[in-house]
Amino acid sequence: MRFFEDYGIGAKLVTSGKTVTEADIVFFGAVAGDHDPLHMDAEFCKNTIFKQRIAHGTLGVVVQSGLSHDLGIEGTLISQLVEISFKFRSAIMIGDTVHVEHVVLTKEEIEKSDFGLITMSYKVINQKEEIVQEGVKKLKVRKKNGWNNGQE
Amino acid sequence: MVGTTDKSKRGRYFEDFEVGEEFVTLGKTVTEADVVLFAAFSGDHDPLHTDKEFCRRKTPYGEIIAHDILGMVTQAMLSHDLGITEGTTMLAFLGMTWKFLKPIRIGDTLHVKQIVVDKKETSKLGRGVITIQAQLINQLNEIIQEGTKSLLFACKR
Repeated sequence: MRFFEDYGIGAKLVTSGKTVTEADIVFFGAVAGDHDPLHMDAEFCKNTIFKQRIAHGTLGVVVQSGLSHDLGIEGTLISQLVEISFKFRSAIMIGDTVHVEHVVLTKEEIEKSDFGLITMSYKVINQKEEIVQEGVKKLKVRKKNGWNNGQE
Repeated sequence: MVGTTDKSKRGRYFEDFEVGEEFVTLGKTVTEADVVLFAAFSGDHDPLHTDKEFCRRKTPYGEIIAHDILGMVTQAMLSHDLGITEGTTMLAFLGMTWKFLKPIRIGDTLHVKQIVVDKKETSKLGRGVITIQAQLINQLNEIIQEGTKSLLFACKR
């Protein structure tokens, strides 16, 4: 678990990688109900600028959230997302392997609270070191001394 | 190409949008199945989303809550169903800022209200950026998540 005190300004937090497969796109299309030809129709995509099917932009957001959760950064009882921004820089293609790099920008105490606010910039990077998505996350993170021995 | 041509022409063009225009999507009930599938897909199996007992005893919610990003994906799905961004007229989803205000519980029914807040032609002719403010709203009319999206659309000419 990563508490408020464990974040140092300027620290770099790097997730493990994930290869985005055809199965991910098919599954995400089914779950999200987005069957746009850009993601589903290989023949249609031969005539697009990408020449092939691309992952849904929001699939990239989900993949980065899963990788970040694995690192204990977000989506836990002690660390919750307050706000996220993202820009889509380039498409994720089938077979691309992406990971996420975070840099801690600011730490802000919340008075009379067991939590503090952390902002981090993050980049989703593919195997060619290209940035596919980037943005800033703001998280509400529990302080160590605020942890009321909730863990038995 | 059979079967794809018509569908790809359903979307709107830049000129079709007016500032102040409002779109309301259909609703979607967030089910336990959605949360289970999302955990499997994202790899985020945090007890907040998978362990009822943990949630009952240790969290202020008292029950399983959906992943925050599942709410973001639900708004994308409902917005996509409006058809205005479908196919070849929307050139790119440029970016978004998104705030998480309240938890989503299993059984909540969500819809999205969108307002066009800005439209600007780009320096490159034949395209323009539409800015949309979106709110994800539950059955109690509470705003659960909200933010702003920028979309690049083709012009008719």
